[in-house]
Amino acid sequence: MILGIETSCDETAAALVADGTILSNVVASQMDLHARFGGIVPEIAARKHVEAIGYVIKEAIDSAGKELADVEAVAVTSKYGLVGSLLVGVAAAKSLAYTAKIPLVGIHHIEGHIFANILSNPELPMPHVCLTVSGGHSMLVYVKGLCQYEVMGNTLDDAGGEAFDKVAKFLGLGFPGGPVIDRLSAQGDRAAFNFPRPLRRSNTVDFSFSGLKTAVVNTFKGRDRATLPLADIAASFQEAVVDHLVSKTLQAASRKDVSAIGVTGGVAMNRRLREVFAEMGPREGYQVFFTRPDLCGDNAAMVAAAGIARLTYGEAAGLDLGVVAHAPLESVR
Amino acid sequence: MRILSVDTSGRFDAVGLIDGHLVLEDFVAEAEGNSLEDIILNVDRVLTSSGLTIADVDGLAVGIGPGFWTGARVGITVGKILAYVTNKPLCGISSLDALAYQARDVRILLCPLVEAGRGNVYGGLYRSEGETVAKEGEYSAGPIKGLLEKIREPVLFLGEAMELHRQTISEELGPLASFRDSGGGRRGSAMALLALSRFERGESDDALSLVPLYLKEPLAQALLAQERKRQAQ
Amino acid sequence: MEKRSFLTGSPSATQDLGKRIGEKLGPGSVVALIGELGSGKTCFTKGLCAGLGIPKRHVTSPSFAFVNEYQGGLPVLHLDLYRIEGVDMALELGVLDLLRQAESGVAIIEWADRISALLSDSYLAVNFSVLSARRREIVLSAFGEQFRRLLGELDGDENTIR
Repeated sequence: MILGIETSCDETAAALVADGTILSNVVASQMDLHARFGGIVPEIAARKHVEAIGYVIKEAIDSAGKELADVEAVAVTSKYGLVGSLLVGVAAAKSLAYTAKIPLVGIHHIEGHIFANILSNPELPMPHVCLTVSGGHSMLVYVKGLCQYEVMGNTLDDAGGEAFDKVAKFLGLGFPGGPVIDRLSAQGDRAAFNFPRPLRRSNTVDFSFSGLKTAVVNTFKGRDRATLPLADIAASFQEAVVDHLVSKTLQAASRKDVSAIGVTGGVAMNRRLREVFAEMGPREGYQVFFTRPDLCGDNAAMVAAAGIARLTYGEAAGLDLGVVAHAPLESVR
Repeated sequence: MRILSVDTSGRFDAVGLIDGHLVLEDFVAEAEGNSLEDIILNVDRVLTSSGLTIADVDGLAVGIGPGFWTGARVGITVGKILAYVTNKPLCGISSLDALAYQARDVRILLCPLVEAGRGNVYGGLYRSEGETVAKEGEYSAGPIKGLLEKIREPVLFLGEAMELHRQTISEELGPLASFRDSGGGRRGSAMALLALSRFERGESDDALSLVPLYLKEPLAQALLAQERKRQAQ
Repeated sequence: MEKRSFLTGSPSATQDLGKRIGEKLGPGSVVALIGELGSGKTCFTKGLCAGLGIPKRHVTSPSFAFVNEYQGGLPVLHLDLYRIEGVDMALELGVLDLLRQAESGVAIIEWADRISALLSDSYLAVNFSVLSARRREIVLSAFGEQFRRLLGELDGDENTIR
């Protein structure tokens, strides 16, 4: 039974996973700490990792009906994210591993998202091509086998989720931008504006969102927000993003001998993205596997699952485990 | 009562170990990066050299700053999780209290100083009460001169930030000011001893809710005031 | 020289200007970038980094994570304070700690106006204005002797449209 810990950016999360089953999956922003801990705890905002870490670990263990002594190993996100955030999770993980004398493994945040997809879809075949896209990253990874990766594409500028956030903010729609634009788009005409599709003629399978973001901003800058057709803008912008993500993913998949595509990360919750993939994937001969909504955002269950795999391969970290903000996604040796 | 202390909020990381009033270890090392990589190894080193394990520890003391936030977070997280896992009591101790405590042999007003960035300091005023020290007033965060304005009697300055501001202090306070280079070498045991006296009084902090002593409100105010002054020029 | 302004006619011209400045930056340099969404801050940063020996491909937007670190001739800290709402939040996220860490290298700060209170007296401010879909006006302001000298040494015509 493995405890997963994730504090790479905004979320503080802990989870218990055993034999491929998620026993608990606690994310601080979704936890009602007042109710659970008797009102002594103030609201835990994003990035308040020091404040939340003890509570999420305790809750992950308690709500699974387990004891600390039952935890056999710890997996923690230690690569890819904000250093000041990552180090809280790793400090906690090391303290636990040291005291309980159990193995420790450091996980790359993106690998976590790839495992979220695997956890969600037991029948997902290897190899496959995985699209992982969130506020902080946009990547295309050829997953050759368990923990065997080849990064095919990356963002050249803004991440997908970030583009949603910036456009939403520009339109006065609030943060995070993804869910708000997703909802608003349902009421809008996605053909109202034809925003430029990034890198359309390019041979690379990289992503670029800053030109699209700039196009939206420059088209409507200076106009009174009250006069803007917000739903149409949102829908058209979303359409351009989805079009870009789907076409590059299919382009990447065509270069590998795969029959499956995985879609994961925070932006994988987007309904239009799922709709277009569900239509285009099979048309091009691919089965598309989506991550469960509760595992799309940053969470610790995915980290625990990645940890089980890495430990099975014999990989373990020492008590000198540190953190690194940017690290390549490495295959297990 | 055996107490282990951990502090990573300053320029030096400190791990201390005491058995009642007997100091067993005072480990100090220059903080590398954000102190994360070495901290557990240093804790283990300190325990092992006294022939002890984490299971032998009866209580924990944790440095809660003020100081470097990024570094402080490491020690605080280690302290709170060690306390949670071992189910032992925990006390959070401020770096300023620990500095003042190390000068409890001195009979004049004490003023420990910790760097806050952009020429600002965190400070406090303390008076010795024999085996302990008592704080007077609130902690402060801002330009050194603001703190000096409150002082009208002989005072001993100490702490890592003292050297940086020595000249200004001498200019403002003249013969009232004296200085002690504390070196920080005993910070670990100082924190553990302060925690011991709190435990003996039946006090402790809740491990899960322990947070750094940010003092960010006064520091933010000081920085904004400095900026307004700059813009007015 | 305290102020110089340039007009650039394309993203690559913006990057070129950035590169010419990047080549002149020494340790302890802080470059503060101020301008609206899409005005060219990250584009300019790619140029600055190219001038510091960092491949453009490595330079991406750090909006989500606040900071990217690159290793060129000097270590570079690329901060993006877009999501930071005030000095309080900046302090909590350790921006002051990061700026101290950057003293041995170069700090490039997008949306620096969010934390002007945390800047020292020596930095280069770069203000971006959008003139049209591709054209930008870029105004460089020097704070401190180090940057006044840098601006004086910068060649290139004012009002160059390329």
